[in-house]
Amino acid sequence: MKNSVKEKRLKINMTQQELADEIAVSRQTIFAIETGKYIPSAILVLKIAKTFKKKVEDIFNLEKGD
Amino acid sequence: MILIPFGLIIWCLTQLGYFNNILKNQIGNTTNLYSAVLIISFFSFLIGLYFLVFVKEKQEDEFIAHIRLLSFQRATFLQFVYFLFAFIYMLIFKKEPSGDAGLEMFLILSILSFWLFYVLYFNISLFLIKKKANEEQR
Repeated sequence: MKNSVKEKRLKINMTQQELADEIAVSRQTIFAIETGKYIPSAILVLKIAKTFKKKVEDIFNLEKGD
Repeated sequence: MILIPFGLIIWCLTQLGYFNNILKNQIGNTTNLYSAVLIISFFSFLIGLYFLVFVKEKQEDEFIAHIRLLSFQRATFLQFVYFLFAFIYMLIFKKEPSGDAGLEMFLILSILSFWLFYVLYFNISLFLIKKKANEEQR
C-alpha cells in the first residue's frame, strides 16, 4: 500500500513529532508509515486522514499486488 | 534489572563450585544451602529477565506491538534452530552438551534462549528504527 503521508505533512508544515502527538503514537511509528515499513491499522489511517482533513483514499492507495 | 546479572553470576559461580570450599569451612554440610543458593539465584535471574521482557515502552502503540509480535516469531524460529543444532550435536558426539547435567542444562538454555532472542531482536529492531528516524529528522 502506497501512501502520501509525508507529502501531506510537509504541505501543512507539520513535523513528524507534531503528527505523532496529534494521533497519539510515537515518532518512529510515523517514520515507519512514511517509509512504507509498516502498514497502519484502520483506526490509525482514519486518524491520519482526519488530521489532514482529507479522505482516506487521497492519502492511502492500493498497489497492484495488494 | 539488577537481578539479571546478579542472579546469573551467582548461579554460574555456584554451578562451578566456587562457593563449595568457603561454605564447607564455615558450615559443614552444605547440600541444602547449596541447592537454596542455586534455586534463588536462578529464579532471581529468571524474574529479572521477565521484567525485562514485559517492560512497557514510553509510548506503547500499535507499531511497537507489531515489532513485539515479529520478535516473538523470530525468537520461536531461532529457538527451533537452536534445538536442531543441539540435537544434532548430541547425536554426532553421542554425549550431552555439557558434562553430567547436560540435558538439564540444554533444556534450561532452550527456555532462556527464547526470551533472550526475543529481548535482543526487539531492542535491536527498535534501536535501528529510532536511529533511522533520527537521521531523517536531521
